[in-house]
Amino acid sequence: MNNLTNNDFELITQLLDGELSSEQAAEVTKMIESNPEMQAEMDRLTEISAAIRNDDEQFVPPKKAKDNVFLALGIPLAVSAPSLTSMSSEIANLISIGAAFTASLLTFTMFYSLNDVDTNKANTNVPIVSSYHKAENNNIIIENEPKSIEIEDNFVGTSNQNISSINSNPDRAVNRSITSANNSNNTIQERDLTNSRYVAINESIERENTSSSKSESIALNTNSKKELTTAWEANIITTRKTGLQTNNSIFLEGNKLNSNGVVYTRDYLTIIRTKASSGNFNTGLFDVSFLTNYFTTDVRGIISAGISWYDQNSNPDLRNPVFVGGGIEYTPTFTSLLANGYFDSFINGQLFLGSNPSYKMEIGLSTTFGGMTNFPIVIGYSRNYIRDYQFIRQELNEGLFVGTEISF
Amino acid sequence: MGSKLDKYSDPELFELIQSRDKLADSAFSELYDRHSPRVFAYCRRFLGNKEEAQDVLQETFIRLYKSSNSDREMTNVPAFILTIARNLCVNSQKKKKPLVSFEDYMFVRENKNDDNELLDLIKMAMETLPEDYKEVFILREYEGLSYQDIADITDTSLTNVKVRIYRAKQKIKDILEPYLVDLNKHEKDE
Repeated sequence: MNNLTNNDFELITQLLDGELSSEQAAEVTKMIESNPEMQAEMDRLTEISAAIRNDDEQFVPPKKAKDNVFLALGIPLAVSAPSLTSMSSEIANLISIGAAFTASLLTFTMFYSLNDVDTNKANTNVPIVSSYHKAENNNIIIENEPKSIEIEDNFVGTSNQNISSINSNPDRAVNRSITSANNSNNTIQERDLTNSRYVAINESIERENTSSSKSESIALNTNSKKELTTAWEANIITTRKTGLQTNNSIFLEGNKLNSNGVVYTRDYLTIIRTKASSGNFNTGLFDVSFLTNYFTTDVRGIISAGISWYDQNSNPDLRNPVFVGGGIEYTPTFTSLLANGYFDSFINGQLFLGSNPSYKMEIGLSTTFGGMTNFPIVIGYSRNYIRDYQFIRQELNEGLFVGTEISF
Repeated sequence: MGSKLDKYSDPELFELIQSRDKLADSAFSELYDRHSPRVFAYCRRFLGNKEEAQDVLQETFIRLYKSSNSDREMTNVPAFILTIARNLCVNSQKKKKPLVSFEDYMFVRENKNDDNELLDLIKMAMETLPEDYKEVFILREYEGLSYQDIADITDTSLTNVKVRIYRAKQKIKDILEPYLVDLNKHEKDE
């Protein structure tokens, strides 16, 4: 039979909960020691409390709950996102750098396998050919060519080495029969007999057998003193830019997109991004991009895509007004873009649209030192390769970049 | 890269949120990471329903963020958060009776074993308590709050809290009495 009063029970409860003063606790303890019923009561309550304290049941909040909160408050999810890995930040950063280094190495190897860069010099004299087509019977018609090499009106004589004959007709079309022997680099050399000099035609002409003589007819719509465009040679970097570059970006942050039930967060919208090589800070050679990056809720920061206006040569290149691109970007920890420093490695491919479509590949890594200023310093390394489908222009740009970022 | 804010105290983080500094959003994220498991556990135990608990959890932190618009000085952030969560839980309970989803039911059943049999019985007994008893019991036993903190959170008197807690414990003990006696008997036999 339990003879304890409510007061007894309350005292025991408060003693166990630590709600009694030291004097009260001593007094109640003495009471309990002298009362077996109170002692048993306390044992049972202790047992219950102990069982609750040992409750290791984990209630982990659903991950989407945090995203929902941040979306509701209009806070960029990049802020809410935890580290991609549970590893320490140092290890994650090392992995990021390692991944970027590996990717850079792969790209470097790829470039060297694609391009003849052993000479370590770019053929900067190769002009951009606006249009051409290869006619039947191996006739190549070159129209409205930019300046390069002059050919005199009157051709006299015959070739003595590589050119078997050169004929001229009254309508300024030049019909040439060219014999090429063992010309493995697809360069045809013809001799301007008037000026006694060689001109190089960096035109890719298919040859069935480079060791045998071959006749081709080339029709040139050219006037007197009009320049003959040298053709380009495939697999030569036409422009190379190296050195320190600037990289300045202005971002808009925090917009979101919901598509087919999947929430994408636009981590930032780059409304302007400029790059310039060191020798061209004042003279241009920059690109201006309008980029946007979307991150899915569950795959943060992995996919970036967007459109851009790209101007590689400072003059608006209206042939390539926009590009669409995609790439992979890995940031070990997604913090507020500009609030905290971060390491970032990236590899991007971009497809330029327009009348002269081309593509661009870029790879590199960067880091920011933010958190202390509204204009964090961005430093990094990038290497990009641009090539159009007609192999007229190939550009290889690489180097360190430094800049800042501004966000709104 | 680890959070730079993990060394900040709760009041410092709240001040950062109030300042609308560049770090404000990160500070809020840090507060969320720090307290959401506890709040969610509280809501889950209080409401017994995962979906409702998540809703309350989300609303709690939304209100926490919005409360930073005021100039209030925050000294006890966890208690403030729990107060919001508790009020939302009470409101949620008033609107409808808690539903135990199949998932919630299976969660309890699958985790049942001899070791936590007593714990399961406690949880079942807890469900029989009146709401005002249940909430103080959770705040005391699971959250480890002092009577005064509980009084502040539930906006009731200290005396009321004392009474409710001991009655809640008494009731749970009464429900578990046969089991506890049986358990003690087995222990003595062994």
